[in-house]
Amino acid sequence: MPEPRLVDLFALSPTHWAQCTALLAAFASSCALLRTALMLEAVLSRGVRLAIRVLSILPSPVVAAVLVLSAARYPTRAWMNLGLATIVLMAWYAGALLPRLVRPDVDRDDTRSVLLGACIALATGLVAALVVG
Amino acid sequence: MRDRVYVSHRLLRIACVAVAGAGCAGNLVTAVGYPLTFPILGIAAPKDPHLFVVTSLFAFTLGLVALVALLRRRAASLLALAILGNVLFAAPTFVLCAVGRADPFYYSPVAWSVLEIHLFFLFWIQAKGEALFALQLDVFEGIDVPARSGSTRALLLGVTVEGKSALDGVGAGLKRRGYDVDVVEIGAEPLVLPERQDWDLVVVVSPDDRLAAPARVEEILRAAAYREVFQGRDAAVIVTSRGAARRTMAAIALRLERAGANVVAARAIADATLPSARTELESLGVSLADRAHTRPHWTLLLRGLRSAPAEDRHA
Repeated sequence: MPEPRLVDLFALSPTHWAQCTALLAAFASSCALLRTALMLEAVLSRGVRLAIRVLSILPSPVVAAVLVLSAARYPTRAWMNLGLATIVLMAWYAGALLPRLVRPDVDRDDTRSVLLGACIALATGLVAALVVG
Repeated sequence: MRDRVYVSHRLLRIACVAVAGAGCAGNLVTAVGYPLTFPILGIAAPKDPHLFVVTSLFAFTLGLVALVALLRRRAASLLALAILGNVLFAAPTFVLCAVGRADPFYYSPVAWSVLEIHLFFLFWIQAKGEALFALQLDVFEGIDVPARSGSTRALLLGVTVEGKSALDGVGAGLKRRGYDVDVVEIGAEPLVLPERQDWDLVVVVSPDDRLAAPARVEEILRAAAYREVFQGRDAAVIVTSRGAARRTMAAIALRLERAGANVVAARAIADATLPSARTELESLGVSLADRAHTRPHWTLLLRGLRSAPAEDRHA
């Protein structure tokens, strides 16, 4: 059996789908937490503001890219990968919800941007599944 | 949701210290005792023992850094460093495990690092800007406290149609407590201020403009020409927003502080045109009029983790 390459890890391959899902889930929830943490850092800084806006949506194109890559490499798994992506997006949403446990003044946008990003990622994955399927 | 903290600061600190301490101890034991423990546990010996010991000691050091940050309460940058270090440790270790170049046993320290990262983020989120949400919570505690002596005049500065509704609500609350209220809209033209300027309170009402105050509001707050409007007065911030208001509130409050004002309240209103929001705004006006005892130190926001212990406020 050939040694797996890094790209196999990010393509939701049959042998590495669990690891890829876990990695993406940790990445997505960390993005949400970092975004919330930065909300009150350097409040007059445009750079931090830009970083927050990037982090608001970053997991979405990453998950979308993984779905497209996996659909291209493993067409028969394209539909199942949509389910895995949903798990990742749920972790992202959980990451955005977690700060509500420790702060009462969280913004509604903390979770709303996640829902928007989830729609974009899943729509991209759906199109990819339809194209290869 | 607004007025409830589900996990207190004390509890969160204990959890963070416990997790960091356990990680620290685990990594030290692993680095020193792996020749004895790994065969007993059936774990494959590391391919490169020196790299393994260095990596374990690196993770141990990260734990120590986190412990210092958590226990000394004066080291926000150390906590950020611990988070970054955990990411640098966990990501490559995870990838090495996933591609089969490391024993699956090493997933366990990775999982521990992910737990640490999440807990440290929550600690950071809670500790940073504690004054901001104290300002939001405490302002209503002033209701039914007798009004302060001295001037009972207030200046409401606001912008946009949505902001006008907020101005009306707060103005109504202040008037109920006997305040004379001057309302000045912030537009493209220079401010037209009344001649009599002995205000006891200045309220700035602004919409959120994608995580910042609109440029017009920024200009007013920064202009030296308007410095005397804010200098030495109590000030409040009200941000009308459809979702994100925390950062805009913080930015305006910081500008007010720099202009010499004493920020006594900050509040976000999701939709100032709703009847419920109007009621809340009016209550806010009443409580602003009665702001006798609650004067949280806004500058705590700037100090972040270096601020005074937060347990009392969070408990």
